[in-house]
Amino acid sequence: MQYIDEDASSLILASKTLRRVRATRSNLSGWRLVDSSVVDLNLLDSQISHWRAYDVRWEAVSVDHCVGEHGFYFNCSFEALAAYNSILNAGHFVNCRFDQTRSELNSFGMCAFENTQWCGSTLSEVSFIGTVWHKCTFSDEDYYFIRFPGALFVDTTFRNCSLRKVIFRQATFIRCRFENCRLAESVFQNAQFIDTDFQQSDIREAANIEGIQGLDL
Amino acid sequence: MSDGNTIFRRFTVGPYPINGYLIADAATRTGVFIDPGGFHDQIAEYIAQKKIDLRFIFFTHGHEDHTGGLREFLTRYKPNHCYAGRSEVVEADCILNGGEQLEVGKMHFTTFSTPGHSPGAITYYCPPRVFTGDALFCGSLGGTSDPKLAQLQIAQVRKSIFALPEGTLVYPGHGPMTTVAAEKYANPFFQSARSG
Repeated sequence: MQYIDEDASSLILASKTLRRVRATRSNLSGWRLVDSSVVDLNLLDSQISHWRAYDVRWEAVSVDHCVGEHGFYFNCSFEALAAYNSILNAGHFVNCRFDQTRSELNSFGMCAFENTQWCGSTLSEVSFIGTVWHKCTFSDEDYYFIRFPGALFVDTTFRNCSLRKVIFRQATFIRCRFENCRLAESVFQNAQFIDTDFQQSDIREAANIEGIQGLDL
Repeated sequence: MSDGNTIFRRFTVGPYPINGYLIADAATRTGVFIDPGGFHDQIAEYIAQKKIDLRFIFFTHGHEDHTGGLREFLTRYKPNHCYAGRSEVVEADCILNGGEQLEVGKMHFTTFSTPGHSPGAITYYCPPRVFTGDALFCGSLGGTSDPKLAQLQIAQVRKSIFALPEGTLVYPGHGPMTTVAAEKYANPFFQSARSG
């Protein structure tokens, strides 16, 4: 087990594996990681902003009461990410994959996701306010009271997802698809749909579809 | 997130779960609990572990889900003062109108009046964090009993909370935390009507 000191900012990791690391009340901002693996990283009360990661495998990373804004992640996989009470806003994720994520009372607000998959996650009261999603897929996701207000989804698919009490207020969907999704108590108030369809998914399950545009109900 | 100067923790409290927040000055260990909606062992353990001297209680407003744990806090910690907006909390000995400067150890809080959801609602700002109670939620805002109060609440949030630095971390009474930037630019209740 390795414990990180208070200031470990601007770490550079290339073609290495970082394993079993604990950091509490640490400044880890500005990390640069390339072609590496991070396994069993546990962060508490720490700053993790402005990370840059290319071709990195993240496994069993947990963040609690952290602030990690403006990260850039290219070609990364996140397996069993656990995120609680943290603000991970304004990040940019390209060609990434999230598997089995667990998150509660966490924020990914204002993030942009490009060609990114989320699979098998369980999220509760998580914010994706103002996010942008392009060519993304949500598969077998289990969501409760997740917030996507003002989000923009383009060429994105929700497949076999439980979207209970999910807020899509004022969201925009362009060429999207909902396949076999449960939408109980969800909110689509003032949502806009362009070339989007619902297959085996009934938007009338939603609690609020007032003001929606672009759907023939 | 705690930093070198502060100790900070969010707790889920009360039978109608809300976010209660503990924040303490790392140097003096003087602390405040914001919105004691309930109490449980985790709070007691954290306060003991971090050796926090809980001297103050702040209420964002007086609804039961934000005040229900007060008796336990008063019994255990005997805080010096309880702060709340006018007519919000009977037990509060310090009444706030907005615009006050409060010190908790070396931490400085500024108060804002943010009525609407509750007439005497107060928001507490201690950089880089603002505690908004039910005045502002992530992507939403606290309910009001009529449209005029909703407009008042929206106006007060714009005037006070949205005037803060955009990187300010917003900690609401319910749901996930957020930032001033995210709410200013993406909260549907503060955007102009969609056209087309």
